[in-house]
Amino acid sequence: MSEAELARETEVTQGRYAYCIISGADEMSLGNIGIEHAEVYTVSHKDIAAVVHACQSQPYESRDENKVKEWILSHNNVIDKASERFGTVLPFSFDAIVKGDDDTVKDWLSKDYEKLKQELDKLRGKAEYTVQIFCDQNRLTDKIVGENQGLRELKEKIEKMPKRAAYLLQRKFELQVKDAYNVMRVKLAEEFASKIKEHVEEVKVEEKVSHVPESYKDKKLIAAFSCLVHKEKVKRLGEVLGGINSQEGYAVRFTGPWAPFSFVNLEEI
Amino acid sequence: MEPRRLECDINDVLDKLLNKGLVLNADLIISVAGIPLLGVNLRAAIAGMETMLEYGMMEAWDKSIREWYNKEFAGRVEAPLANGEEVIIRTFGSIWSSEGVINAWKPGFLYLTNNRLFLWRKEPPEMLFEVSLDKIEGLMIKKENHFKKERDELYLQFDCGEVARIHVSNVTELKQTIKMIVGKELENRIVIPSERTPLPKGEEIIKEEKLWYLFPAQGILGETWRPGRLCLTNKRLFWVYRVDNQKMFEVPLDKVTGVNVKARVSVPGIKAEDKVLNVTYDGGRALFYGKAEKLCEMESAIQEIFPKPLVPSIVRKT
Repeated sequence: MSEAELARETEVTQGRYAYCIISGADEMSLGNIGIEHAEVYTVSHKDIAAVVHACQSQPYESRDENKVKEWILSHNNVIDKASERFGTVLPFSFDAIVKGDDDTVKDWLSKDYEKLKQELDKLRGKAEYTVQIFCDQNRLTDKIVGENQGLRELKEKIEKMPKRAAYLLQRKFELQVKDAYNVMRVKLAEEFASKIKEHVEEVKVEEKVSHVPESYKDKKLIAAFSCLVHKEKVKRLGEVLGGINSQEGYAVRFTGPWAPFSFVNLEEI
Repeated sequence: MEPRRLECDINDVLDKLLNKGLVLNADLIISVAGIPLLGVNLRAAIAGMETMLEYGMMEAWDKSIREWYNKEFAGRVEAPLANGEEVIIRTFGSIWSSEGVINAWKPGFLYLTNNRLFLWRKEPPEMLFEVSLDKIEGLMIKKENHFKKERDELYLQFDCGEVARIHVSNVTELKQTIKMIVGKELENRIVIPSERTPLPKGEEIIKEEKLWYLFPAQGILGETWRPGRLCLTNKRLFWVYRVDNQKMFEVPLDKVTGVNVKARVSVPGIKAEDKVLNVTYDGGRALFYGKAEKLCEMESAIQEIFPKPLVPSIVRKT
């Protein structure tokens, strides 16, 4: 293989897997804590740095779900370690790979320095918390039916009918409850959001929650928020949520601190 | 209350790392066929191919694409309902569509109302499939392979003889509810069209009609009318029983001695004035019943094959 060919080969196989952006000027190794035990290190420009590992210029892909999960946990672990050490970080989505070497990373940091610096400053001392509010399904249905005269009458009618004959009415009833439930949910979500708002820097309503833990399966998720919270205000937010949690029929799931995944601007970097 | 970070709950981590966080600018990243950052395979491994296809790729897509999707589809058109029509089931669903070389599942919202079953696509608005419930004659749940996994699919048979294939997440519920609304006995064995045996080379179907056949007495069973298809080819005339797709009557054309359509007395199970198609051949006669015009069309199709009109001879009962 000629030298030119070798150079080209190296060029295409080079990539840098990006974990997060931190505040810090030093270039150092964080040890073999990365995906597949890769050595994770920092590449800096002025007072900010990217946390990366050297990899091939191709995305991590696998049909093996467990393997992918392991990679993702490793990625998150690096973010946690970096956050402990350097304060709030700008986390990358899984599988963000820079095409090129350390110099490419540096070039990019210098080009986007202002934006990245601004984001880091904005997020300093803050972390993301996830709030999910659940409500007992029967209790909610009772509340919905109780507040709606039409549904109340329909329910009474169904109860008086023989089971087989009531079937179609029952379906109709269920559909109407479902529609009313959606209206109610939006209303409740707004109420809770306004309660939470004064204790957080920023709040985002999560419209889609992919997984609900087993222990909440018997309840309905009525609102989910990602909150950007200042360290000093976490306790107060906890108290407010505790208040909701102690209401009959409600349960609140409060997790964190997370790196500010929901609050880094996706479009501009 | 105190916030918690339970290491064992990986789903929160997955949600954040796959759907959120920084994404690199396009000229720095490695992309696969225009899809930023992660290949389709990767997301498929996490979401499960099944789910991805069922609910459209959009659900598991990048936030930016989801936003675009929501904006783009803000003006979705709701399914048209007739006055007084009530929705009983509304769910994601898809129908198998095969037109010529195109074979695909078409996804949409499946509506079961008190008198219709239809699949509605919101954007662009289109009725993908629609049938009045009284046209349904048979329902059958069958296990089919779908991307290497088995799942239940619902086959529907209509009175025109056509068969539709539908998938929803709860097939059993859909079937039970249709049965409940229709309120009549429905066939639960359906012949899937692709399972029909192809004709031998050189043989072509000239005419095919859905007709009843007076099945000869068997054991303690007397003569019975059974539903099926009468097929006229350039070589023979045969009838296939709808329930098991078996040929139960067959005669080569050169053995046919007569054909006519008229009302006959002493045929069990039909009114005296009802017309039947009477086919005589060497060794016997066969009777078919259906709409009068269908019978006449079949009669003239058979007659056309022969140079001079065939008149049925009287067959003596042996």
